[in-house]
Amino acid sequence: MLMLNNVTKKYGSFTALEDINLEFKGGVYALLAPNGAGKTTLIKMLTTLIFPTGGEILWNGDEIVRLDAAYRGIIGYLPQDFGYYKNHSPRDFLLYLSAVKCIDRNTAKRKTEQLLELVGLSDVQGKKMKKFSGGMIQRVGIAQAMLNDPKILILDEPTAGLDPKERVRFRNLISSLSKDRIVILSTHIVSDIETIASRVIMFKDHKLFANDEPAALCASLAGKVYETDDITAIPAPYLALTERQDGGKTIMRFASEQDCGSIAQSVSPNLEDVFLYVYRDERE
Amino acid sequence: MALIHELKKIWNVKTLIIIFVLSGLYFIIALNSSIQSYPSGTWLFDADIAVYLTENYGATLEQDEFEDFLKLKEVIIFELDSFISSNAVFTGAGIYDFQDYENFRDDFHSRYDTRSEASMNLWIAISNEWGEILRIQIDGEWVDFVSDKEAPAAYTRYIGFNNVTAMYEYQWEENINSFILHTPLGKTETKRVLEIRDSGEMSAILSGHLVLHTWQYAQNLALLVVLAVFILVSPLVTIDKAVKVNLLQYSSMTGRKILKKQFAAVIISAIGITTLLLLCFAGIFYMATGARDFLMSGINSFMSFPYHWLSVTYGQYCLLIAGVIYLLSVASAAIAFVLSRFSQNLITLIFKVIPSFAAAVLLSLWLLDEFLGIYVGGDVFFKAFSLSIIFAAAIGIAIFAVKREKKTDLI
Repeated sequence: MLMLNNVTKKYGSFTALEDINLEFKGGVYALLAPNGAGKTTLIKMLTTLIFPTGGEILWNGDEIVRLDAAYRGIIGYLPQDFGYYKNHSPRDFLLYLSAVKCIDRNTAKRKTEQLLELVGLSDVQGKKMKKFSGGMIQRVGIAQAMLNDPKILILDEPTAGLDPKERVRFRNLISSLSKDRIVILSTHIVSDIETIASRVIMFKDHKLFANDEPAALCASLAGKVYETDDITAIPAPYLALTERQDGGKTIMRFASEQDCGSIAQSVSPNLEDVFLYVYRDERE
Repeated sequence: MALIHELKKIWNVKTLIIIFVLSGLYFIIALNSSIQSYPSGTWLFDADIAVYLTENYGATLEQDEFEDFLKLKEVIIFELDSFISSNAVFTGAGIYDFQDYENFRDDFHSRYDTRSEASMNLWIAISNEWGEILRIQIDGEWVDFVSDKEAPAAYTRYIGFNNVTAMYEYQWEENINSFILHTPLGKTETKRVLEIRDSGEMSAILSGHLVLHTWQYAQNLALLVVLAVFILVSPLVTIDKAVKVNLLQYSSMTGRKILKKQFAAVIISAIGITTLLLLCFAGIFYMATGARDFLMSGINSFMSFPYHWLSVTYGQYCLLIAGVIYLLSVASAAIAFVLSRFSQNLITLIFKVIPSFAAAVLLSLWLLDEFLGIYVGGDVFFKAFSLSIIFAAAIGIAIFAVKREKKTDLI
């Protein structure tokens, strides 16, 4: 089990994360927050790229910094800006990272072939990556993260910049990889996690705001979300969420603390509603 | 295994092509001139004689061997006689052998005020055959006559023979005494020069021009080595940072130790490229100059100047130069590694590397200038001390950077 006890990260006088307490046991954990909320800071602490200024991060009761290589040996990490050598082929790059991950040569070759097959890059495994699409690069990224068959798979904004088709493909891939391991997935794109996350973790004002199942988070907004084609009829205050076109009309989805059931249609809240509601102060 | 991968990243084809092309150009522009000007550019014409001496007498010339060497003059005179008797300029002037030429020359010199125009023209024509540059005063003005011919081998051998003979018989001792008398040397320098004079090591056979060409060539070669090292190793860590592969490296099982492996790869690569360049370019020098004939000769020789701090052979002298170049190379690699670690991209790296390269160039030139020579301001101990300090500092800073990385946040 991966556990964070009162973890704080400060950069000088700026507090990036404060007093975070979390537990990761198994399944997909989605870190859902707007940019700059501290997702990447948390992920970098979990990958030992940065160190907490307060608190401790434990793996099975031992501090990860003290575990050192033993801990890093069980994690797989796909950074937000996945770095690679453009002149390397996926095969060469995975073999290089296998060496960095201290995987012996034979295992590295075998795992490289398996993973390239899994992410659908077998046919281009010898080609230089400089001509690869964003989706192909991300697939190389997930393959490298899986090289050491990690117990903890950490993915930082893995779908950023991908087209819808690649995003769906990637989501399915993550879902298939989440068995028997902890997957920690950071994103600000709600649709990435709606169907695959077993728990959603939200930060607000650099503190832990929520840590719950998606359904429970959605339930917290039950009875507060409505749709109407005449927003002018809705008494303030209300929070405009999304708009859609339906039969030539603009349907406005909104959240209100007042009962608007007589003038608007009550709808089931989704994770996107929760996201927009929670981070309403951070919108333009 | 990660070390091998880091070495592979350093020794990539693109970089090697750049170094190969650069080395070729550098050889043509800078190195080749040192080779071309030896021994042909040596004004004492002593190089061929030095080869003759080592072939016949070994690394030193003892007095009895010198007596034997003097017999060479007969052979040279015979060669000169043959040249003169088959040359129309000489025979047309009634000069049929070298003795006739010497008589003509002495007569010409003795008639300084009564030279006829005809004898002057004849003197110019004969000097032209010898391949000489002649400066003569005509009607109160000095005029240079530069020969359009190459000096005949017999004549250069003759001049070389005379120079070497004079050097062995008395000049080396006159020179060393004059050096002690007229040079503002310190106590240690004076003691060392006296030791050289009295120890007998000046009987060594080695042309001073070869020593001169060796350290000058080594200076240029050191610059190439330092340049190649900077080009080869400096991008390694910067590129990893620029493309953000360092995030993957640092979060892997190897972790921050990757920097240690990269430092090892940088040092190994610096030694590797230095070895390649030395084998290639020192090899060319070795083959082209005939330096192999003098490997066992002492560098303090009756034929050479300046005098040297160490009583070593020319072979050992070359090894010491190679050692200095290796130390410079490794120190440069360590500095390049540190610069690479603290550069965000290749542009900032280049801006940092240029002044460091310039400093390394100045250091190389200074360290190898008149290498091991005793001259005013050329304190060999200070140079050795400086090199040691710089080497230790460069390695120390690099090790500090590696150790410091363990606690650094990778933002």
